[in-house]
Amino acid sequence: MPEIAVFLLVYLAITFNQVDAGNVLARSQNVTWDMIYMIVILSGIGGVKAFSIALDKGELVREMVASGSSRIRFLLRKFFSLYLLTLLLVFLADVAVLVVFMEYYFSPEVYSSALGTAPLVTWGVAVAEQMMLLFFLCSLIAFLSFASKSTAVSLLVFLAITIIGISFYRISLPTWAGYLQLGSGDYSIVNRVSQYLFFALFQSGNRVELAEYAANAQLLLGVAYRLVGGAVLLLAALVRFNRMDLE
Amino acid sequence: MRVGERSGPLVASVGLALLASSLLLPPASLYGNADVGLGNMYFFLPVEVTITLGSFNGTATLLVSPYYENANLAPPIVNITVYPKESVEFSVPARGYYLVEVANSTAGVQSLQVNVNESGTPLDLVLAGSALVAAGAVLSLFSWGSGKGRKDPGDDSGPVPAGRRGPAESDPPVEGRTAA
Repeated sequence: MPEIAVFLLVYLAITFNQVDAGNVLARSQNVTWDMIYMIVILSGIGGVKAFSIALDKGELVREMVASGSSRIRFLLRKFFSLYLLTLLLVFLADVAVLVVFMEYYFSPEVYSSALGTAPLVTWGVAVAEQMMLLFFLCSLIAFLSFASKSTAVSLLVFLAITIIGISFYRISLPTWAGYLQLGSGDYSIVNRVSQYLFFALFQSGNRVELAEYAANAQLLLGVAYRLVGGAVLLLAALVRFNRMDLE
Repeated sequence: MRVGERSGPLVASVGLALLASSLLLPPASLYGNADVGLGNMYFFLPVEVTITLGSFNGTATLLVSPYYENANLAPPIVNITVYPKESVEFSVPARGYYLVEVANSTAGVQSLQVNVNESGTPLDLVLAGSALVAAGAVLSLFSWGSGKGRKDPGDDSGPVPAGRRGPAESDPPVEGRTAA
């Protein structure tokens, strides 16, 4: 499974051909959106395998008894192992993008300039944003796995929520909701933050552009949706698992 | 999951993805105006690039140079006199940013229509993909070989050291195996 996921993620991330230098420099802004379906499927299948199927087969209880730790500590460890594994797989695709599109083929002189640093900053913002997104997705599947107890139902509800969340950009939404969309919203967050950082780092005197790209309510809502939403879902999963009858 | 056991296939998967994307890379083109006398920056892959200029009077010089920030332009890879609507095809030596400059136009125009087409298979990705597939295969073989060489605790061919036991149902699976 991880090998197939990595193959598809890297393929989706770098099957891109543009001669427009500006588009290549901005490549990292789109990378999460390009991979979003694969990220959702990876988190969904990984999540039900780790929680729902393991619970169904009794593996979860056996592992918990063998580890000798409390339910909450055990589930947190399980959750973060899933989170870190999915993050690692997505990160491999990010590294491929960095190498393939930004001329980081042993060209250290590029790093010291805006041409080299600006896309690197954008890439860093994209990776940080993916960390938030994956936290939300892993928390969602953890919660659904313990909420329904049925693998099919949890995966179905997860896919319904996420795929509808991705497809919202097809209909006209109020502006504030744009950052809540998966994929498109992630692009918007990376775009806005990286533009702001570009002007803050390289053109700090350009106050008009700095004000233009400063954090606004929509951006904060999008970040809170992923971070606070993820934390609430994880907490709900912990509470549900703690009260579950595992006999 | 033993990280060592999975690292070979993972590395090979990245290599396969690079190979697949390089072999299936769609051609790209960009049609627009280029300022005469000023450089226009493009990102080229190491493939065949065709540049076609639009209409103008007389001749012009087409220069294509690798672009490095904080450094002078490297010697141009293309330096040729072109006629109106003529196509110039050249191979890009390495992936990166290039400055395309139309100079010495006798037409006295400010800008020219330029059509840039890029097609072919980027050899650097093919090489990188092949190297990663080979590295993944070597890692997998190494991991498989060292796994075979390890003694199975449940094997009857030798005594099991005191205090050790074979794998049992109650053994906790290694963290991460069930994670994905």
